[in-house]
Amino acid sequence: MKNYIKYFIFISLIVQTSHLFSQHSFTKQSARIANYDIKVELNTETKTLIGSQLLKWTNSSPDTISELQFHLYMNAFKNQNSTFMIESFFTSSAFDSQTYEDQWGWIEIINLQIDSSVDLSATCKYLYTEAGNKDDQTVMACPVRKILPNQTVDIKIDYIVKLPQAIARTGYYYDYFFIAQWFPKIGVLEYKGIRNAEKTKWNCHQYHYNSEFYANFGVYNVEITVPNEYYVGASGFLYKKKYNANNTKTLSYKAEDVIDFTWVASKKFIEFERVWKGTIVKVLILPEHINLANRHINAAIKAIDYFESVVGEYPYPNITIVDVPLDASQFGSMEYPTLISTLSVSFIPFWIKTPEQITIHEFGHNYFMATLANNEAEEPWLDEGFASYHEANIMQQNYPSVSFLGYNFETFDILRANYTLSDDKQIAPINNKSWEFPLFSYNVLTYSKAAIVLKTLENLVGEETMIEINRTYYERWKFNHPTAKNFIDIVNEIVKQKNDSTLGENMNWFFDQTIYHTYICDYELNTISNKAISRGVTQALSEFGFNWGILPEEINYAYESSVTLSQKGEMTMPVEILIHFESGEEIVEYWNGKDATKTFYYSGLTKILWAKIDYTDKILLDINKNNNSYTTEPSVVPVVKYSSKFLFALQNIIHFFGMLI
Amino acid sequence: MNIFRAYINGFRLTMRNHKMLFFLYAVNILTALILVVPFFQTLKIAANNTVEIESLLTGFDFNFFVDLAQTSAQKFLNIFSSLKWIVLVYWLLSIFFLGGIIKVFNKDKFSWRAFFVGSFKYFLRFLFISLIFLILQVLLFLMIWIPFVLATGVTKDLITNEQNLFIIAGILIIFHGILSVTLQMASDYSKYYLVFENKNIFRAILSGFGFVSRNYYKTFSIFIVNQIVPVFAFYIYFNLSRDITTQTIVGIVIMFIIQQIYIFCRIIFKTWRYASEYEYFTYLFLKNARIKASRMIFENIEVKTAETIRQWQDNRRKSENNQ
Repeated sequence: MKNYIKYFIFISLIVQTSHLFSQHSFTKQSARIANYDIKVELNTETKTLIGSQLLKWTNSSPDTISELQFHLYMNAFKNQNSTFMIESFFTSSAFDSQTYEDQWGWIEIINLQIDSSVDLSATCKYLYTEAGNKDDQTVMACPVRKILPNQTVDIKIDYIVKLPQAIARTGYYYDYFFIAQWFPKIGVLEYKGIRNAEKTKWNCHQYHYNSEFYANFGVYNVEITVPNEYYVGASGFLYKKKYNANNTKTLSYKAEDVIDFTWVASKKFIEFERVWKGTIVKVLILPEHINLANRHINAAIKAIDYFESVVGEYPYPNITIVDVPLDASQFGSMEYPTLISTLSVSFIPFWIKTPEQITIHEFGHNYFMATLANNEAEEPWLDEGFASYHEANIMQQNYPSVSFLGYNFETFDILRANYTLSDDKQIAPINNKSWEFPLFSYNVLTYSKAAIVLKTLENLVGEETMIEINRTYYERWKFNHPTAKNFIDIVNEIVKQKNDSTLGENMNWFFDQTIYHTYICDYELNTISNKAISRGVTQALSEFGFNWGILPEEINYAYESSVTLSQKGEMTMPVEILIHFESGEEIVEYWNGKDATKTFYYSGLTKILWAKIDYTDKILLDINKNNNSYTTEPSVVPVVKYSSKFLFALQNIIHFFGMLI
Repeated sequence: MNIFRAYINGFRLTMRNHKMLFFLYAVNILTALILVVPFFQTLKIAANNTVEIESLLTGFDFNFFVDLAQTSAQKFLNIFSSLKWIVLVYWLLSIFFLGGIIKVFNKDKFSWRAFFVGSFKYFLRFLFISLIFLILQVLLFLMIWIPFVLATGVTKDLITNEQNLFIIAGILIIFHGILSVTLQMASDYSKYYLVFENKNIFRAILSGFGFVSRNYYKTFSIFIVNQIVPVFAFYIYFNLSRDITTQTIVGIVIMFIIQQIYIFCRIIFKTWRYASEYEYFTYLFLKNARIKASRMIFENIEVKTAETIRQWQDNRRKSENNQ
């Protein structure tokens, strides 16, 4: 109870900060191609939205166009026949036992006008060419009169959205509403010079099970009308609040230079705020998770500090962290511009850092997705891989792993294990389009493997160079739509400046193997050979200046030694090998790793005791580091140690069951 | 008899049979070694000549085990999958030796003969009782948790706020724990009835339940105290294990000794539980038997006195008639 009182005092002191944003307008940071003025009303009884939007869209291509394409994401939940639902057949979908119409979701366009023309909605048709699924209704194409280059048109759309029961990032859960991908969102018109486009064409993919989103930057002015008793959180910032006669209120939000707009509504939210380095960090938490509010805020602050030091300044004035009910976890762990959702469990102990980890990961997406707005559908690793890589760095720097009974592990260890223990490590390249990933491989490759690829890159080029790469990438591509190639070009540029001969002219060799191919990295230290050669007593005597006497055996012998290594996989990485001699002397050898095998030879008075490839653990992609080293005198002591641990565990287990008689 | 007395007497009884304790410890470690020996061999071969294994001396190396799984997962899985058989063997051995344990409790002096005679004599009947109670434990589990799971599907308050769910689950865990302990106690006392009254299995079980229900507070207290003491032992072990570094063979041996002392203590605690229960049971059992016997004797005396008086009256009547 004491804590609750503290929280209430805290709230009363700081929640009244919304005035900070009133009449706020920021410097234009993006091209602002798609700008939305939306009025939307939530009917909490029927689980519907009545929306009306005015989209000011600019044809930024050099060509005249006669078609507009829109995402209607909500139609993914219209029935079992959408591409999304078909691709999610293997999950225990909420719709498996679907019997009520109320649980489905859809969007219906009532009216579509361009520059106050006649209603064009009847002429629009659904596109299904990509997945060959004629029943999918998530992409709509509308023929329009000619829109000239650089011409801006007003597109007015009225629509009704029926929210689905909690599924894939959106919907309702009793009186909790997570409103994401809810409005008709125009696709991205790409043209030669923009990303990988060869000619002017729409980039507007169907909603796939694995795919996320891609959109132009713009300004969103959104008026949300909800019943009075609901608390609302949204992208951007609240600048006006109006109470209506019918027991509803209208909240006006503005989000500038963003690619999406998401909002949530619940009767139960409790609000916490803290200002950190000019950024307002807000948490909307459910009562059952109130004790976690500060954990989320502190994690977000750590993330702000990290990203501002290694990537660039956080570009938005605020960040809102939204809590979701545990039983509606479909809403959790999602990222939207200036609004992220987390996932918490009541009574979660302090040493389990999942709340922090999720907050940090999703915050990272406000850089890698929201600002560096890659096409999440076509190159998902550019946001998920980068967010995972930075998340792991933050976790390792700020939250040292907790040891329980002597067992502990770091975040990168888990990411590496996800990849190395996967059934088929060569199932697909990382740079696949999201819908092309075979079953269950999407997460492993776009999150885990991509993160350890980036960590391996950091280890190869050095931490400082990696920071420079990150900063350059961000500065050059923020509020734009970078591709993998754009990132690689920057890596090549920075590495070339560093003039590191071991890495070659550029880093294309690295990305070709790790991103565009499915090569395996597995170095092995095959054997160590120490051949004793009798030097003869006379020679030994003369070398040591003796003319008589008995010499110890080790002086009477010399050794011809060798270390043989091989590359068992297809991937070649430059590696350093540490060779340790019996005398204590150590030599570091360099191998470009290009040949299938390599042998280093030595001769001298001492023999090789052990050797280790990649002794500084740079190559996280090596799938088996145990075979990277070899010793001529293997120790049985660690085996004894873990066997005795196993014995002790077994004795306890059988004793436990022996008591249940 | 109060609980404290049962506990002290139980401890004395346990320690008096220290040979049996060492024997039970030997059974425990030898059973475990059935899997540990192949584990040792497999780990040794899997480690091959790698230097990485040295990292296990300074601490836990997650990556070492992940990479070990790349090459030897199946071999280790084979070992781990045998665990269920080892558990089953030890469970049967525990039932087997319980007859011996109770038998030697009943002797003034420990004797191997009594121990094994008791083990063989009661094994099948004890096994039957244990199986019945195992089924009852499963039924109890289902009766508590199936309604809970079903309730989460229909009761909005339970699922919309997991805090309520956890609180109710917590209460149910306590409730389940108490009932489960009650069943365990009934199982124990049924076996004592079987030994002392040589009843058939079902009558023994009914008597066991009756005994526990008549003396619930004391039997429950004896059982719980016997579960709390090992927690302290674990606390001591846990702190010791944190302070001992196992980077050298000396450290590993010291740690091994501490671990084995801990296991030996667990064997003592388990036997102590049976001894305390035995002490309490025999006290009440004998007390009841004495009362019963006294009543029978008294009833005998009454009968005999009445007969004597009757005979005396008859004799007197006869002599008066003769006169």
